[in-house]
Amino acid sequence: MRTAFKKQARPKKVTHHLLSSKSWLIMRLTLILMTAACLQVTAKSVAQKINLADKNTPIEKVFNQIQQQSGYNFFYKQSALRLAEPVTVYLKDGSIQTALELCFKNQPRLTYSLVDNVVIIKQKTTQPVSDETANEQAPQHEVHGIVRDSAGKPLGGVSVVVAGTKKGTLTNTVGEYSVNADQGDVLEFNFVGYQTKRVAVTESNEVDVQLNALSTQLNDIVIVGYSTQKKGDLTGAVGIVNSEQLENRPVTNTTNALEGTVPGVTIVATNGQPGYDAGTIKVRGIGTLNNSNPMIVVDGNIVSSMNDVDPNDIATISVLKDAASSAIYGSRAANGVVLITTKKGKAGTTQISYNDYFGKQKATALPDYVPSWQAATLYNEALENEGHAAQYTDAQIDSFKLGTSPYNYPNTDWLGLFYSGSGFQQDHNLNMSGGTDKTQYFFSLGYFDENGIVPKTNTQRYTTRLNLSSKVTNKLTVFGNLSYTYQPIMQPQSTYPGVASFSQVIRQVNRISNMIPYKYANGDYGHISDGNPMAMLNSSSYDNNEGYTFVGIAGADWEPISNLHIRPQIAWTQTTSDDRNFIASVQYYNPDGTPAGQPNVNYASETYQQSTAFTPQLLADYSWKIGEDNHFKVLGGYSQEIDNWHELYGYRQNFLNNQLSVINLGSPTGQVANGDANQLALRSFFGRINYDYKEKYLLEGNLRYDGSSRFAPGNRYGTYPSVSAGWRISEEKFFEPLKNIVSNLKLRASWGKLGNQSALANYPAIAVINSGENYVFGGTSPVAAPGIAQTQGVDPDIVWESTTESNIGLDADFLRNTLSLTADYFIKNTDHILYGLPVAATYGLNPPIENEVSVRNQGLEVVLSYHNHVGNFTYIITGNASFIKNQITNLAGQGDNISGATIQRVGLPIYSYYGYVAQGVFQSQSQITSHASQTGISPNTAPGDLIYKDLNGDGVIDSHDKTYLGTNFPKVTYGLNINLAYKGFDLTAFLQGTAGVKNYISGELLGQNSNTAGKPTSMLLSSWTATNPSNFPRAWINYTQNDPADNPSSFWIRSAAYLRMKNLQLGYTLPDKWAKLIHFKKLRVYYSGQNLFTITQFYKWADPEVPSGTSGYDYPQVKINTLGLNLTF
Amino acid sequence: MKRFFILNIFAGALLLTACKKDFLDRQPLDGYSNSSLWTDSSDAAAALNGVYNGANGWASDNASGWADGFLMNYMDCASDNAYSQFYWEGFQDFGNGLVTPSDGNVDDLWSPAYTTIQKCNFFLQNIGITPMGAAGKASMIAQVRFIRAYQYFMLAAIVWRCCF
Repeated sequence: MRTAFKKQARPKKVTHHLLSSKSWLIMRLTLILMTAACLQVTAKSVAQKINLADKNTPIEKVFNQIQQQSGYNFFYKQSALRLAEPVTVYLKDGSIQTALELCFKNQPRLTYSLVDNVVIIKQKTTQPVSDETANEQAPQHEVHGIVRDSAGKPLGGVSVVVAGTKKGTLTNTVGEYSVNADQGDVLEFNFVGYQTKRVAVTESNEVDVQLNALSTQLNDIVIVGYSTQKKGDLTGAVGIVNSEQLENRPVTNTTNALEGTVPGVTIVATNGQPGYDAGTIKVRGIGTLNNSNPMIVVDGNIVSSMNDVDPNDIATISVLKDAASSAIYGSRAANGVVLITTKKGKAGTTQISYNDYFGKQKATALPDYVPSWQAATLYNEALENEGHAAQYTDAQIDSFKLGTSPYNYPNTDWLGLFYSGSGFQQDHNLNMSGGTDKTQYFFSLGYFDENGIVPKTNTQRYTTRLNLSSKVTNKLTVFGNLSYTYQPIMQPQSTYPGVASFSQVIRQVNRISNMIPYKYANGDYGHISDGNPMAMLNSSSYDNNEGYTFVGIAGADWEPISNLHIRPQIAWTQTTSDDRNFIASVQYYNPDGTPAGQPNVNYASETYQQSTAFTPQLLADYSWKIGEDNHFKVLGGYSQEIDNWHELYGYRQNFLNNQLSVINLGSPTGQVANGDANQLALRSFFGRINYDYKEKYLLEGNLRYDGSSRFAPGNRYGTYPSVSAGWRISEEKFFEPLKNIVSNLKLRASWGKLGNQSALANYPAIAVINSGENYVFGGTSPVAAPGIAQTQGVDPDIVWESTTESNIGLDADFLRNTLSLTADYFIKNTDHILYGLPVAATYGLNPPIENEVSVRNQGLEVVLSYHNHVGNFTYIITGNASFIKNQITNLAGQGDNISGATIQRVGLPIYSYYGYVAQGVFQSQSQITSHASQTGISPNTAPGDLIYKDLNGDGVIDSHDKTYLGTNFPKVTYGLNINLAYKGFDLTAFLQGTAGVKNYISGELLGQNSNTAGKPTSMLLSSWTATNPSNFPRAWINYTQNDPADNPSSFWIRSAAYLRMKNLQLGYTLPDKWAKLIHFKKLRVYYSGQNLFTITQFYKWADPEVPSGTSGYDYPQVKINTLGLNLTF
Repeated sequence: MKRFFILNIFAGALLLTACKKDFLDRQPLDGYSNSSLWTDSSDAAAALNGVYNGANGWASDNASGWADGFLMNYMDCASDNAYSQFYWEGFQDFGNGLVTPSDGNVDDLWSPAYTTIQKCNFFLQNIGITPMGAAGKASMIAQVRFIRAYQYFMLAAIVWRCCF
């Protein structure tokens, strides 16, 4: 019977509604315990090598053998098998079709058909399903044609039946069918996962048909809190990222990989330094004044950071955005939850793959400091503006310009000297997965190496992971996930006394003037009073941080009675951080060779920290149904967590030389030893109920009761409920006529309450008498006397912060599933925010942490996705956008909280800017006298200074004329994903941007006028002068009236909206036949670039995402170009 | 049998950890509670050293205890004993009579005093219960009262209207 055809790769799991009647025996349908298994979008072909050696063997045994070797499942009635003859078959490395043909060669009463990866065994009926070769009746009217899907791909295995009869056939591998039918008969086309189509036979005997897939993703399994759900049944707002969106992008850590993938999730990455460049994640705005990071769960275990997970190990990420979906995590979920699931093995398919890339980094933008002759000219201007005489004569400026005297009149390219690192980055990942029905495994090894654009900056990441799961008995599955990450990070240090950090070196590079030579003729370093940043970089100072993280999770799934699962789990996380620091001593010299001042004292210190977390957890879930249409699922659970942290610190100074830095070599005089420890305990009870009617009306309720050791007894527990509902309008009868246009329409709504207590110190409700309040009693033999005192005010009555969130959402699929839309509108109120608002100085202690602030976030998130094809060219375009309005709604009756350029005020967003409105620059003295008086800002106001608007009209410019100038947190974030594929080529472009956001820079990064500490950027070339008036303030050195740090204004605080080409990837996959020649299943080479270009109106030499108001302490953002390889064996 | 064995391990692990009633009771490991102190003269001496420490914890970098040596020198610039030549040090305005409440150094003359006064009051509130020699106790109390009086003296001299 010629129904054999090649198996076609299909991405989704098929359910056989046709076969659900009683007594079908299903052999080994692997259940969705291995949740990640069903999310693998790339199809892996099932092994096709079947070996049989059976003589007169019962057919069932042969079926078992075929099933084990191929993964194909068999459906049959037990009664049918009684009609089977014993089988004799010998086969070596055969395909499934050959095996089946041989088995059924001599089976007079049984026949089979192969649909997807299922073999259906049926009794041969007296009137066999006819096809063109077995037909004995004369064809009255032979109708033939091709069946395709909406993308034009032929569909094989589609059942074509003449309605009302038993006549029918299946389409072959190229979608062709041929059947006998009379004119007027109706042909019915059925295929699992597709909408049934009925076509009447007309005069033409050619009937080509296109079948539309049922909403392609509705049956996808999505990870939600503590369990899984079908995407179609979701009632909450969940954003999903699959491994394709994370793969092959040269992102340095998992946090940054999420950028632009899910609407409502904003990642802000402010620098590109190896090891320190992880962005901060915000889900749906900034919820609180404290830590507003979402909760991170990896494989069911709550962790503090996702950056220990190798992005190559991730199968899927779910972001739970609204209260309903994250309420099950209760007290720590107020800022959203990110659920990460790592890859697991699948039964029957062994796969080994190797991925790597090599690339080079470059800064996205560096300050464009002007050559020293222009810096000298500007310095002269600034001196004259401030009432001093110019310093440099024209001849001296010419010397700078011509470079005739490079040691006395240099033009040092400090940035060129400093940013001379290799920027070389590479990543290697090898993983293996596979298994049998009983046991599946996933094992991976990863190595990542990143060298920064500054020498001596480097990080590496060694990761390994083993995920094992085994079905011990029919009712019991056990699993274990082990992972270990080692990450060393290296960075240089500053030798400036008392300020050791690497950011100080970056600041010094931005600060030291071009008029200072790098080295004198005799090789000594040129320097200013702060030193020479290159001397600091070249010294043997270092900061080496080694991080080790081990995570072990073990659990079981026991099903004592069917549909009841009891899932205990324990998890152990151990994180160690060992930071070793050495500051070398540097002696600077005057140009004549005499020592300039004293060298700094060299010293070494080591900080060793260890934290452990032990989390046992017990879950039970049960599902049942009443009738066919009412489905219930209930989940209950308990979990607790105990975190321990301790730290040890040692310090010694006065080493003999700068070569060796082990602490024992330092002098015992002045040595310091510190140690500290703390604990945190959490305990929770939670439960959930799901109900759906015909999968059309969906209802879900969650409840969590959470306790934390951070609060006083009596205030420890919080209760967090949530409820959500969904209505699949598209399944309603009244919707039938529209179903062709809108194949899926679902409305969802949710409400819930969540808590937050995560960023506090561990004991904020307990008054503590601190040590360290020491005093040195002087005299000729000073004695250090240890002292104690209370320094922190405490309110023992504090409770959890709580967030109440409502969400309405819509999911729709149009145009035969080529267009899909998801939209959500939410309002999120966070109350009782724990914060220490300033108190009067007479209180005498640091402000206590109180529940005193409220914040609201509300917004709209939209995802629109379109996919189609033109011949062999397929394309998918997905856009997402989120619009968020953030505001403080309550500040405990306190007035505005103003600090520098930012303000916290009821009604304004959290990171609000506050300053003057600038109206240009005074061009003449008469303009100054006719304008409101600015003497309060500076008694030296003169033409060339910024004009500040007199907002309250009182004729004086003072702090009453300051106003809200915008916010540093973007109001709009959006992303655009374009995927194109043509034959073996694929192109992916990912753009991301923000709007409605402001930022400013100051100090060294903005540009300063000086001949020692500070250098001007090209922007300062348009400084106002009497002979060259402009709209840019006049050059200044000490005057503060135009400086953004002293007088923030709308002149400096400007739009930081940007559009960035975040990732561009071009790849080529070797055609299958070539790949087979070299024994690979898949070989793909690709180019991938990250942060390729940025379009923005912000200062050209500063990345728009630099920290607010930064003056140049930050490592620049980087762009990366890489070439890589994907191999699958 | 196999499955009971495995389940027993899990159940045991859970029960062992779950049964503690005071699981959520955690006290700080790096700071004392007031009720555990004031047991002998060394506790009192440590608290006295804390009073001498004054506002060293959080005032300006140059604070050096209950009497700030840095300010003692620089406040001469507020009188006619000295003149501050570098405007960025912030004392020119004192000398010129142009000082405003938002000047940086004003806060250093005001807030640390109250921090120290708070410590003095804390000491005086608790010293009574400490079992120690009467002479030693009286001496300590006297030192603390002097330090507190000095803070008020400085406030009255510079900030005026603070105490009446």
